[in-house]
Amino acid sequence: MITPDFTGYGARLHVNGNAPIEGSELEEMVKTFMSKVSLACVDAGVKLIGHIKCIVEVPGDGYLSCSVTNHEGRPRCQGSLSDSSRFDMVLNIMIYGLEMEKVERIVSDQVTSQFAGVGLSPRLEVVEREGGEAHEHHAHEGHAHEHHAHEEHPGHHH
Amino acid sequence: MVHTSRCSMQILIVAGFLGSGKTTLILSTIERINQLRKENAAIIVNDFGSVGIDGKIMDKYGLEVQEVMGGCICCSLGSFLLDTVQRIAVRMRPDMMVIEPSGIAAPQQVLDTLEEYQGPPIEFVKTLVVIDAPRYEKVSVAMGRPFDHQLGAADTILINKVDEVDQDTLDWIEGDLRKRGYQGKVVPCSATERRNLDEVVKVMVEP
Repeated sequence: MITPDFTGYGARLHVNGNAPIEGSELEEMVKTFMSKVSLACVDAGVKLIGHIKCIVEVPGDGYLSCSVTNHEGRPRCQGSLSDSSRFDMVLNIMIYGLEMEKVERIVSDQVTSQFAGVGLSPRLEVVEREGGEAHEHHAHEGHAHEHHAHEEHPGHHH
Repeated sequence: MVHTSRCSMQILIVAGFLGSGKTTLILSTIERINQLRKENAAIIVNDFGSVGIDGKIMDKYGLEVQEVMGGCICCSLGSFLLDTVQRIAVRMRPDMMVIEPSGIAAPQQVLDTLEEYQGPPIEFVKTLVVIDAPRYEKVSVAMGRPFDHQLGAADTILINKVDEVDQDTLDWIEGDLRKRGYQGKVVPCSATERRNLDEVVKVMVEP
């Protein structure tokens, strides 16, 4: 459901440290990050959190996926991380009633405070920016899909 | 439900709003479905954005997943979905194909796309719409008409996360679904708590 106030944000985050960090500590860092991001969205006036989710992978087999759908900043997570000095995260934020610029600022601020603030080196790469009004997607309801403007360029990125 | 012919592939569309628990529900049921059918179902996941998360999670569970990313299969990637379904149907000949549209998709438009399908016979296409019990009121009010359209495409509605609501809330949700005109089957469940999943599997595999 794309409405004019929809914001869809996607990013890759690469985090490196100088020494291995315990898996349980990494998990807590990720959960705290997800909680802080969602609460910052609420504080900024988000109308509805559709889904804020991530998957984190460390070298080897470990992974952690976390999901926030509530306005209380409670992530639900699955999986576990092994000790590692680095991890990669894919983050998706799909919300209603908060502009893209605010979402970008929130993520950037939380990356800085949660990761750079404890001596890690994060690199954030935004790969998806989708806003309702700036995008033809809002016409999802009530039109034939074959007339959709995206048809001419599937797989495009914003 | 769209019936075409017998003795062939079933297509199961597991739709629902963002965060309703579609991926978790598939992960919680797919093993049982595969056991019942003695064959692995093919899975197509349409995640929001160009870097998918749901497909990655399913991959961690050892499932073979075809990801469709970079758009929505109910509009911009409709033709790509059709190609993908037809290609898998021809090459893999699965007896079941599970399609998980993104949470922003309109399932009726996915069904419309599948009307153009030309490939090995399809036994039936069934649409399940997953709703999030604790967020039902908030989401239905915020989304309005598009939410009703999503419900309108459902053969069965799965009320997920019932472990997070009380019986009164569950009764109210079922009543509200009827007020909105939904006449089909409603199955309460909890994918994470594995509650009532036998009934969910039953509606998934039966015509």
